[in-house]
This record gives sequence, structure tokens and C-alpha cells, in this order.
Amino acid sequence: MEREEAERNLKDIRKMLKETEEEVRQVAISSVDYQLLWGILVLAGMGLNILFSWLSLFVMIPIVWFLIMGIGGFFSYRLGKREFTKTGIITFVGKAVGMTWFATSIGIVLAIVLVSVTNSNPELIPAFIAILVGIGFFIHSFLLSWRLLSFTSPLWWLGAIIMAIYPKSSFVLFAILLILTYITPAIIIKLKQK
Amino acid sequence: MIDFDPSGINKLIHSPIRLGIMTILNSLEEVSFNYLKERLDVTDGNLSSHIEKLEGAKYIKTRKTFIDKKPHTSYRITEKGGKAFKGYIELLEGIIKREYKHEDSNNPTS
Repeated sequence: MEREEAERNLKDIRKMLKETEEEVRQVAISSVDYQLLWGILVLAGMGLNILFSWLSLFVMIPIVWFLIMGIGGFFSYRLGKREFTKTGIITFVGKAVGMTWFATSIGIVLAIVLVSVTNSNPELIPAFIAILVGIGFFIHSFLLSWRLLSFTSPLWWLGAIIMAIYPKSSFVLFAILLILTYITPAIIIKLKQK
Repeated sequence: MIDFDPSGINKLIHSPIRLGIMTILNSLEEVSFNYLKERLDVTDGNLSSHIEKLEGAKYIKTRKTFIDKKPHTSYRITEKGGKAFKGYIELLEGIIKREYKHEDSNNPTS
């Protein structure tokens, strides 16, 4: 093989790698269906939480959250399969993002269970969840090199501090953060795609 | 970096389409048949024959599944394939370096 051929082949490989890298990034950024699914489910869960608290049906609250986790898990699995059929690729970045949010969910469940079991102050649960969600966003933005998304982490952490100081504002603040940083960007991206 | 060895060219990877398949598979976890077909702009038969060769050398692994009751074929690079691809890149770099060194030794003023 001559030098020219070697250089041409290397150039072709680099070009293909660059194209693939950009495509992977675009696919990962445009995968907002999970975001919409979980955002709406959590918002619905929060609504039901308030409703059952108001009706003093406290036994229903853990059932609601278990149902939401189950529904979310089932539809996430279906979405994953559908996305693979559509794009034809599974990326390491996509898997890492999925695992980040899976680990965050386990952290959230553990925080809820541990606070309940140890009879700690339940008013602090939203603040703990906000800290974990902030970590999730931070890793997510780093994996996708998505600078705009990284700004949401400080918002969640700041929200966590406010929730810890003023626990009564937790639900409203949590809902605002969820709509602002999770659901709205997903809707904007979805509309842009259309 | 391996030393330059003209006989060391991996002819299995050296073909443009197979090189394309290996490059794509090397940078992604799993890739469908249709994705490869579109990216490389080849026909079903052409792609199948190249995939068969890479599969025969155990450079890639095939996974057949059903999604919504439809058959779906996807591919992954194996450890052996990854090493072969890395070796091929190193060989290309070796050729380029060697030729430049050769030019430099023939041109002492440079």
C-alpha cells in the first residue's frame, strides 16, 4: 500500500467517525420521549399525591408511586425498542444516559424509603430528590456535551436548598423546576423536530 | 505502534465497504442492517456478503430479534474485530510515518 492510499483511507475513517459522532449526539439530544414520559408521569404522581393527602388517604401515596415507576419502566422499555427500530443504532452514550437516570431513580426510591423507615423528617424528601435530579442532569449534560442542559443542575441544587429551608414550598417549587427544566425543553425539541 | 510490514495488511478490512462497516461498528454499541445499508449506500446483497466475511472471521457478531413482531438484525464488533481494526489503523499510520521518514532521509536539507 502506498502512502497516498494510506492517507486517503485514514482520512475516510476520520470523516466517517466524525459523521457518526455528530449523528450519535443528535440522536441522543433528540431522544426526548423519555423526558416527556417521565416528566408527565412524575407531575401526575405529584398531583395524585396532593389529592390523596387532601383526602387523608395516605395509604394510597406509596401505591401511586409504585404504579408510576412500573408504568414508566414499561413504557421506557417500549420506547427503547421503538427508538432502535427508528434510528438503527444503540450508542454507548445513550446507554450511559439511561443508566445515569436509572441510578438516579434508585437513589430517589432509597431516599424516600430510608427517610420513611428511619422516621426522619419527610418534608426533606423533595430536597433530597432535587439534589439527585441535579446530579442526573449534570452527568447527562456532560455525556452529551450539552452546555445548555448543564445550567439546569445548579437550578435543581438551588431549589433543593430552598426546599430544605422552606419545606412548605417544596411541591410547588418541584413542579416548577420539573416543568421548566424537564418538560418544556422536551416539548420545544419535539416541536422543532416536527 | 507496530512496525511497518507490507505483508501485514489486513485484506479483510482493507476493502472500502468492510472498512466502513468496521469503522461504524467500532464507534457504536449496536447497529442495524438498515442503518449500515443507508450509511454505506450499498444494496442488501452486497452488504450481506461483506458482513458474512467479517462474521466468518469473528470480527462482528450478529443479533436477530423481533421488534413488534418484525425480524430485526443488528451487529456488534467483537473484541477480535476491535483489535484487528486498531491494528489496521496502526498499520496505516506506520506506512505514512515510514514514507515521511524515507523522504526526510533523501532530503537532508529539510
